[in-house]
Amino acid sequence: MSKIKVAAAAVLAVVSLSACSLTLPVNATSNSVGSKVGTASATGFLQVLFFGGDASIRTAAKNGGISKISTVDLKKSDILGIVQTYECIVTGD
Amino acid sequence: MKHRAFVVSATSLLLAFAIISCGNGDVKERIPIGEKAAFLVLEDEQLVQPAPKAAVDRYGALVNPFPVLNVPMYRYVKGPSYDIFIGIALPNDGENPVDSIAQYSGSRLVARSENGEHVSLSMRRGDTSYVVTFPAALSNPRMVVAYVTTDSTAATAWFTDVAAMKRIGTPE
Repeated sequence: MSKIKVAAAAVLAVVSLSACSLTLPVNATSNSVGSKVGTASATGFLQVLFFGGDASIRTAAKNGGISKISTVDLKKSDILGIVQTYECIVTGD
Repeated sequence: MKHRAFVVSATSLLLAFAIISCGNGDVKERIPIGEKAAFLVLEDEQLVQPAPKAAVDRYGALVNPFPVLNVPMYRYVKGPSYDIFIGIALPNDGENPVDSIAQYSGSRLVARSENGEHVSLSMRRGDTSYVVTFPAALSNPRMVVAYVTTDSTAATAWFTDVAAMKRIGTPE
């Protein structure tokens, strides 16, 4: 019986974590819109503590060696309101 | 028995609330722009993700053709007879995105309107008419809404009504 409870709790936890993650479809998954892809991300805690993380478009472009940016996309994930991750994805040449 | 009645009532109320919440006029979806704003997608439109290469190329040729200035595309909405692109005009020391787009040699500036709330450019290139709007409230980063169509009458109406501004709302 206790195993069932543990399994149920585990499933619930996974579902909860998945539900808090917002993944936007990203143009960067297809290289057809630009020959290069660059990303930049920042992880924070409690929506306020980011310790200088940089998920800017400029940094993503720089990381991908991109000077002409075609598209920009953003990916945000949130784990129970405690840990937030922002990722910026750019494509271009 | 009382408990069951309560559960049924609560469920009905919740369902009604959900239906009312979802039924927001003819707005089908909201595209978040930053934390406080959203672009409203109507029932007969479709947010297309990922955007096809043809759409990215079309946007790039009209709004993002500059070698140094970057105005990348953020979202693509397909309408019945038009396309709407949401872009981001990245800061650039040397070039003003409004002037760059207005003076772009590949297109012709038809009209320009400006007040404290927006700057809009009505442009034409071949048989394509397009309206580029810079909402003043969306300035950090500076967002661009581009309406593109081959129907010049529809483009004129979009420009005259400043329709882009009516599509900016709150995230919820």
